[in-house]
Amino acid sequence: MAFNVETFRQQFPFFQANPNWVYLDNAATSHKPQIMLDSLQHFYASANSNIHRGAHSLGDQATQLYEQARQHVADFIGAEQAEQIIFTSGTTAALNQLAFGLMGTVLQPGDRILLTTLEHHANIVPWQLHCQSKGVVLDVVPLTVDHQLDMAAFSRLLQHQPKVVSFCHVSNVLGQVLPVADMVQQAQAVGALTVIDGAQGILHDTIDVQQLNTDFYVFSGHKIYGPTGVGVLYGKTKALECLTPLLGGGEMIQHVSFDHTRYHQLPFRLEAGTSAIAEVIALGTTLHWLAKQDRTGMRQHKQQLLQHGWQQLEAMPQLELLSSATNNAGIITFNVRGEHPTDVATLLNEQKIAVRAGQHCAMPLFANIHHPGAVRLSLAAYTTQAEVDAAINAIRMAVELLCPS
Amino acid sequence: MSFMNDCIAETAQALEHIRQDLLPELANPGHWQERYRALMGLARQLPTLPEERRPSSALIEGCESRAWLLHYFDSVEDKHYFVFESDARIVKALLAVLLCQINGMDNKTFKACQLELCLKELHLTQHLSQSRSKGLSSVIKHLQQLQASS
Repeated sequence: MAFNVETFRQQFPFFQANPNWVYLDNAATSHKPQIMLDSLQHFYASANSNIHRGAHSLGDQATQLYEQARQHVADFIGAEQAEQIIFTSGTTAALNQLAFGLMGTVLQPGDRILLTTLEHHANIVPWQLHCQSKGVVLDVVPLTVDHQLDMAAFSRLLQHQPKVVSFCHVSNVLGQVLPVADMVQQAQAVGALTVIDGAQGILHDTIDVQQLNTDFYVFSGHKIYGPTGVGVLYGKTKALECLTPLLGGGEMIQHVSFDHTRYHQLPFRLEAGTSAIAEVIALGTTLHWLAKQDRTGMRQHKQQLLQHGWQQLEAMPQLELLSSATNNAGIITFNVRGEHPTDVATLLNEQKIAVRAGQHCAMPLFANIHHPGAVRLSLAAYTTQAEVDAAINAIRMAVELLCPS
Repeated sequence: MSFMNDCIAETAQALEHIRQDLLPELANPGHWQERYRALMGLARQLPTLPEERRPSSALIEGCESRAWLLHYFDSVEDKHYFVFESDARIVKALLAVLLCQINGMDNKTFKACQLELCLKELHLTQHLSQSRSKGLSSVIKHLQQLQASS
């Protein structure tokens, strides 16, 4: 049976509560299906206990649910073992753990890290914070004139033999899908560890981390229909073993004396403190549910909407489209010529169209493409064609108000 | 300085026109489109401050888009003058709505002026998204500091 957007959308109570809004800010956060909300509610109402420590069977039961969630996440991304899934508070926390954790073990002063111009600040600042100050050098893959990643430059920069290569799966600004499998292969050929920022990529495509063969893959729960406050750091076992814990405290410890501390084994070694237990369990439930949906149908639906929206916006001479129609996960980024993106967003907000405007936590990218920012429409599988049409009409109205002919 | 004198005079003239002729239109609540059409028209009345006249010291913190506000006090005439610019048209228009009500005030009136009321009476604040309101609050805070130190 073909993917039915209405049936899928009915599972998201937000839309019933907000029938007047058109929500096209899905790259910022997605809405939540009832099954996720039920999971949170069920845990707190019926199963709430702390994990991995109780002398009572309630704690054991909570632990079981938590570890089952780890297995669900592992299954969802095709990880070999559940122990390769580390729960963090989100993508940013996972990238900070990586930057801190690799410094001194894999990264030594004078070593190089390779990033791309497309990166979100979360995949730039941690490397600057933890590594650059200790003498590690950052190289950056530039873009071509049509805003594509310059793959020739990527290969060239790999000749500097970076120890770590970190890049997004999908650009949060332009929506473009990077050739991650090829990039991983090239990076590993020069002996680098690979990190994929999957914050936007995880929802776009079915992920198989073993097939990708990446050393690390990180993502947030809230962008894939899950709760806020939980994210995932996947790593190959050997790669995870290179990480010095960023946080110390309960749960990650085997033995503590004031002279010396022995860490627990993976994954607990990298999960200090009480985890977001309910959120982890709800994320597991959500991914287990999502794996059973028609993901190919969802992707096709999103692509149809993208093309539909694209064609109409491209026909408007007052607009400058920054993202491309092909190889795009479902993001249309544009500016109204001569106008500031926040003005456009204000006029869309008046018409109850939720978009994001600004620099989208990617200032280096905007400096590179010489725009003060942009308006971003980001689609999801529950987005309807009527919503895209409403947004396009609203953009027409905004253009008419901003640049009267 | 003569360039800035011209700019102050030109801005004052535009603001006076806005205050007398355009504000009454804005105060009548109509369709949101009409309100914004009026705001855009209003922004077009104002002179453009060239890039080199926008010092970073005049940049108002807390705006999503950039806005510059320059203040001059003419002690001989006892008058406060403002020159401003923004890279966002709506912000520039809103600044004009606010500043046209205080530009050219004598010091005593300026210090006593209730700045927050200037926008509220025009039913403008309810139409602004939170981030935009935040930017305008920064402008108002900046002006309140000027009031206190004038």
